[in-house]
Amino acid sequence: MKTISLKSLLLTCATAALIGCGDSDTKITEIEPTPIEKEDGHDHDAELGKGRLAIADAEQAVIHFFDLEENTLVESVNITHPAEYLYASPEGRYAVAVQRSMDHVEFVDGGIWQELHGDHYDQHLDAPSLTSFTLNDVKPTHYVPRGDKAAVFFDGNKETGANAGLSLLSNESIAQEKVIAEHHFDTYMHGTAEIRDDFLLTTLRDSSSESSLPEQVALLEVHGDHFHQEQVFEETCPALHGSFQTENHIAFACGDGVLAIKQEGNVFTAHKIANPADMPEGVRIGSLKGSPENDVMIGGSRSGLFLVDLVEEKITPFNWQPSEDVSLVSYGFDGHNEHALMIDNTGHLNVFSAENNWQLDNRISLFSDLAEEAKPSIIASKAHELIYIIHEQEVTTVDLHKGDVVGHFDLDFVPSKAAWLGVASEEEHEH
Amino acid sequence: MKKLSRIMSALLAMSASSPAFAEQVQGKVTTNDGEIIAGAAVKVVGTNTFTLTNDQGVFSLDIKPGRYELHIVAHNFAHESIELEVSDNKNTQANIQLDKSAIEIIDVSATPFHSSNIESALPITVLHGESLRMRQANTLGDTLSKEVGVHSNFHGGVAGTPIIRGLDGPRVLVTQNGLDAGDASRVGPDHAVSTETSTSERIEVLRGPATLFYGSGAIGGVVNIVDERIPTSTDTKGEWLAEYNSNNEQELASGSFTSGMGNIAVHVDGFYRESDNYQIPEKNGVDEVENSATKSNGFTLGSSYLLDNGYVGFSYQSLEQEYGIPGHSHGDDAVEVYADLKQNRWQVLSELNFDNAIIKSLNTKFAYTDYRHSEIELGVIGTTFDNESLEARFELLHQDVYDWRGGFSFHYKKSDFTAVGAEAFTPPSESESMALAWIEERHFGDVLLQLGARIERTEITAQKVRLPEVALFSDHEEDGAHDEHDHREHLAGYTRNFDVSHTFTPISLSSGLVWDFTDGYNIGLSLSHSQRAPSASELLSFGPHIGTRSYEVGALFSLHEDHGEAHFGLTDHDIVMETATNIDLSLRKFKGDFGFIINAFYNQIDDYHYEQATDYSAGDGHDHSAHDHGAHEEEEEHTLPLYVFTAKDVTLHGFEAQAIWQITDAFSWKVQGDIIRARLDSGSELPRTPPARIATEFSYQGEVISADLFVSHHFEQTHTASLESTTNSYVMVDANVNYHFNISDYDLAAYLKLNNLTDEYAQVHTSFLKDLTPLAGRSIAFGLRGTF
Repeated sequence: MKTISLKSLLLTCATAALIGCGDSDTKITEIEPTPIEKEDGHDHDAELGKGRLAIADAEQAVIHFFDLEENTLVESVNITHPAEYLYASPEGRYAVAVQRSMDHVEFVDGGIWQELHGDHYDQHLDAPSLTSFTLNDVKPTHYVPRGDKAAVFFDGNKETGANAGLSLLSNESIAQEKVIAEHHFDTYMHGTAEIRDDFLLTTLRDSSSESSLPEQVALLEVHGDHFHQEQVFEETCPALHGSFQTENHIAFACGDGVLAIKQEGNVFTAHKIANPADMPEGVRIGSLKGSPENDVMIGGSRSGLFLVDLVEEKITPFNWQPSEDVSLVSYGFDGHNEHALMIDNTGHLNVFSAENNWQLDNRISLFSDLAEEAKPSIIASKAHELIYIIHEQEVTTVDLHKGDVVGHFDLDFVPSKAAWLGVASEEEHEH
Repeated sequence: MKKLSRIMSALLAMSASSPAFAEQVQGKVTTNDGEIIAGAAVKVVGTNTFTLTNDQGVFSLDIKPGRYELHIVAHNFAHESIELEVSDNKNTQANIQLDKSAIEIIDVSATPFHSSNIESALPITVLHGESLRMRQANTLGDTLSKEVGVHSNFHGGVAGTPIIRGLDGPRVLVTQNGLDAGDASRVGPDHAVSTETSTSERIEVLRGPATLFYGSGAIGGVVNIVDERIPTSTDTKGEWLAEYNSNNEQELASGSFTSGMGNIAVHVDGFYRESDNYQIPEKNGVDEVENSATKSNGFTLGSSYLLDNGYVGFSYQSLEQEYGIPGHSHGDDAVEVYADLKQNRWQVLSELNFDNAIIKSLNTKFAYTDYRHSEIELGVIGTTFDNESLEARFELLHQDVYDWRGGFSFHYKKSDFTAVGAEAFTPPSESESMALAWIEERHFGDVLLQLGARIERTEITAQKVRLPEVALFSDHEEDGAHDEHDHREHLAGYTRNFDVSHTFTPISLSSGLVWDFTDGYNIGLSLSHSQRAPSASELLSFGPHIGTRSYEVGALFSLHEDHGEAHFGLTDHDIVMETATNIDLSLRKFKGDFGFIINAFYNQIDDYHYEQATDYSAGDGHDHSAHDHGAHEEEEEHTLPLYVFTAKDVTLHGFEAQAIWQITDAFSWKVQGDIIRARLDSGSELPRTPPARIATEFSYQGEVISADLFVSHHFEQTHTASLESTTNSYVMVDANVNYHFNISDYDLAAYLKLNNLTDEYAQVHTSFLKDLTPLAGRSIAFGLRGTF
């Protein structure tokens, strides 16, 4: 029996082989490759749109919204007064139109946002529209976005005796047409604030002082819809103007140096990094910028840029210029503050890497010539490694990853301030 | 349908006459010694007519005149078939004697002829009844792990799938009522099988190549879970169970109910199961397996229309499971990952018998399954697996031709599989297969010869197979410090994409014989030549697979070395099918108080696709940035060892034996054991090969009390693959006691199940997580179940 079945098995096998059974065939066609957006290979960006660019009209009370996929105008939204400053709300949904002289802040929904729906996000792509939410305190000036919140500082008014104040906002609170919390000072000042989770570091001014600039820093803690003052730092910061924070430090620029505050849990300690002895007379750092991941901040002054090393506690001139004849025209950062971007008078964009201690990474040619009074502005996408440079009546798109200009489009109005709106990518962590 | 037994013709007396449509057949079922057998099932083959013998062993059936075959089945007896001629106006008398059998004989629905396990050339075991209820566990693999030749790949009690003779994954098919379970359990050991054992009637295990009936996925065997979701009778019956297990605080409730009126039969079943993490014998301060809690529930509704010559019915099933995945950490040990699984399944089944010159019967099966499972980490979906599958099977059996019984089977299967997310190591793909099989069998005296052939065409298409550039580290021993080997700066910055289409034409040929060389004994011999088309995941994968703790690369790709630098490209080798040539020999003694079944097999598999270890490791795909934007904790590189699917020749051979002595009517003693070797022909061992086992079982089956003691010894496994460690031996002692009682018409049983009585610390060699998830420590479960 066994023999028979074996024979039949073999016979059938042979037959099968003759008629071509048991074949394998594989067809492989190589198709368009996918560029890797990020080093770690996670493809979050692929799903994210390029977002929209909100540009304030310099002459009219209008905000223009451009779709950055097609570089076309989506909508022009009328606001009450011309916007003197234009910012993106935390997480990029709203354009915050600050009408400083009119004591008015308006919020325009950019239309692109995502909504957490159980275990996934629903993506919204709506037409831009003015919300009915406004802030109406005196002289809204500094707007400091940090993480998912932003602080709006109202300077108050020396002339009318209006006191300064500040409001804490988030995308969610704007959607609900309310502020998360607010604080009122007992005097006017041209102040600012830095948000650290439930804490907020803000400025204090001695009401008897001549200057409208504050000279001290206080620590506030959020309690429901208001703040409690927890601490006033003894170390003073005369003529305070400009602030920034990294993961480890919060810094305020003062007339005599930089006030560095270190947070360890709930304990904040402050010390002063004095201006170097060789700093020219009349020069001080008036703005601080940088990357959360680098404890060396970039300080801006009338006579150029400085590096403020908060760990080494020293301030040194930032000799960023690739050659001596080059000077700074305007500067900004990319979407996640990983690169400092400096446009120089030769029309080049100089890219400095935060990871690489602000060394020059790349130099990209933008404009063949640049007028002396030109003031191009840099607006960074938070979804892609793209920046938009608004110069005269033209927007130039630069892909920082490719290191090249990748697009242009023209504006038929005179642009003022601008902001990028859309859904931000996850923050990239270089390994 | 039963024919393989000895056939005795019993055509008998005649008496009075009346012009009725149906004639009465009466008979009595007894033992060889003339003792009455009550409760024996008497079925008229090819019809729905069925009855049970009464307390006197007597049955009576009304059937139309004609020639019939009666199939008689009784517990602890060998099955019997008789031929019967029913004539007009004559009462027919049939007396049947059954032989005792210590071996449990049961008809198997997983094969087209529905023959019993004893009449098959291929070894088949069936778990059912009280044994099934006592062994049922949260997972299918763990439920079957005491069956001879079957092990579990024990994945922390949450996702154990069965290993048959050392083969699992894409080589073992899990079916439910004969149709693919339609889940993602064949893709990863951490994916649960989407079936429930507590509402099933029996589980059939076909050991060895069953590609003839089931196609490519069954080259190693089939596990078929059978339930009555599509009822074949309107008899009202039901079963329920409530159980609590102290070890993992598991609460289980399940029930099923079948009834009907006229020609309509209905069925409903449901279950609910919830457990916490399970406890293990304390070692190094650990006494619990983190993240091993599970929660599941489901229900099934079914109905069928009973015809004189068969039935047609449909069912709907909804199943939800949520289970922790132990050890599924993306680098950070504190991160708990759990799976959320949902399945909707529709089935249509029909069996029709024809009184026709050519066609004897037509069995039809359809299933549509929509399956989704998401792996959720910190509340965020990491990866979602979707599998939408459609399956159809037609079995057309012809009338006997020169005593050859057989027919054709047409089988269609389509599966649309996608995985999206961090662990989407397999690209979206569509697999479609169509097959035609032919099977025949015939008795030549004491010998039953079975022959079969099947030709299949399988197409696997994927429109975008990714070949990402991956940083390879040449030292995976030291996690973290890779500075010297970081090749990243050489990457070109893009992912290559391919449109891939595979076409395979696997053929299977099989011949088997069962020789009843003397009364009560037989020898089974099965020879088969089977081909398997590799699965989409074996071909197209590219990415981290946390479930197996490896970075998997499919057979479409291979590692190239240029200027001493390793990178991936398309493979230079042809993509080939796996070809198994299997010889299986069984010797069975199935009558009398002593019975045994001995099996030996030798399985030569050419071009066996397996994951070959490399000297490299690659990133684990853990998204560092997704969790913590603010804190910027110290980040370190997490890598996984890199494995590439490679086709090599392997040989598996093994031996299985079980012997049962029915000492008295109530007492029986069983001894069983199995051993397997799995080697690459080049010399090295395959990984996770089951260790040798020997077990003994004492059973007492009284009127009021039934009890069982099962002691098994798992030997040390020292035959290990490279980079695999040996596993120690262990002894498991399990016991259960049932107390049976009645309340009015209800049969109830209160029971106690004790597992791992000695609280043995036992690691499972076949588990991907053997170091992390030893078997549960001592556990005590008690419950109550009832039938009516």
